[in-house]
Amino acid sequence: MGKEIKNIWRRFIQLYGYGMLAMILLDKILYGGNHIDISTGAIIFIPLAFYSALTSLIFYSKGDLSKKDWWCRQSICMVLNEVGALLGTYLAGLWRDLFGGLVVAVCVLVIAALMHVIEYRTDIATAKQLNETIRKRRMEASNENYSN
Amino acid sequence: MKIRIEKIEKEQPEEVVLRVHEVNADVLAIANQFEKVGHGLVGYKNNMVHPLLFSEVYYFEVVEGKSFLYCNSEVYETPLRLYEFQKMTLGNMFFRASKSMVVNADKIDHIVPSMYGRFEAVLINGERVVVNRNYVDDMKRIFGM
Repeated sequence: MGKEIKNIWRRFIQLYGYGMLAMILLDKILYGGNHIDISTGAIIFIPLAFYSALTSLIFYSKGDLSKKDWWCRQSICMVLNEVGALLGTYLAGLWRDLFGGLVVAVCVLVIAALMHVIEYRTDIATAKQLNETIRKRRMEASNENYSN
Repeated sequence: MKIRIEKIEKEQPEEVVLRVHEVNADVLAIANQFEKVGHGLVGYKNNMVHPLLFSEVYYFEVVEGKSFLYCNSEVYETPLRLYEFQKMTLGNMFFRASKSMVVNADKIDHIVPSMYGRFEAVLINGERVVVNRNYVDDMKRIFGM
């Protein structure tokens, strides 16, 4: 459970950062920077990001998740995140019409996809490092056997 | 061949001494068996007991409440629980790979990242085992990274 709590904090920081960035960028691009109260958004995003980070506990189980369970979890998390984000940003007055709601919904999808892509890229780098270490160890072991 | 068993005090270390005229393959095989028993790792298969070396174990896995030791091509059941096996392998090249598995890092050929929040460790016998992202730090530590 300790590792899960660390993951939740990491996700909270990432989600808050991406959420704020998305809000500032979209406000500039769509409304010329005058539509959204950034300070209100900064406060609203704290519980929203925390709520979103907590959705990673969905399907928490003692056993490992199968691929089917993983997809199921991701889908449920996405629905919960969309509902939470739409509700929270609407109540905060960040959007009022359908277009605004769609923008928020797309943002949530983009942020989720971005986080997965970044995690996967990090995993590729980690695997590369590990494989290099494994290769070196194997070479050292075969050199030792040769000298013996 | 005479066989003699001598009971000693608990303070004295247990040892097996083979006094032979010639060190041949049979003698080495007997010595190897004693070495396996000395490590205390035992697997069960077809109602037979098999002493095992840690270096023979590729990974330990718990499936539906039962524990198994996976070797190159053989699978043995063991009464050990996951935390007991972890404790026995402290200081060896074993690491916790997921909630139900402990893997021998010496048997890993290479690592492949997967999109499901995990890695796949391809073992030297071609088997693939899952390493959960939460346990990657343990794997790095084992490799001295």
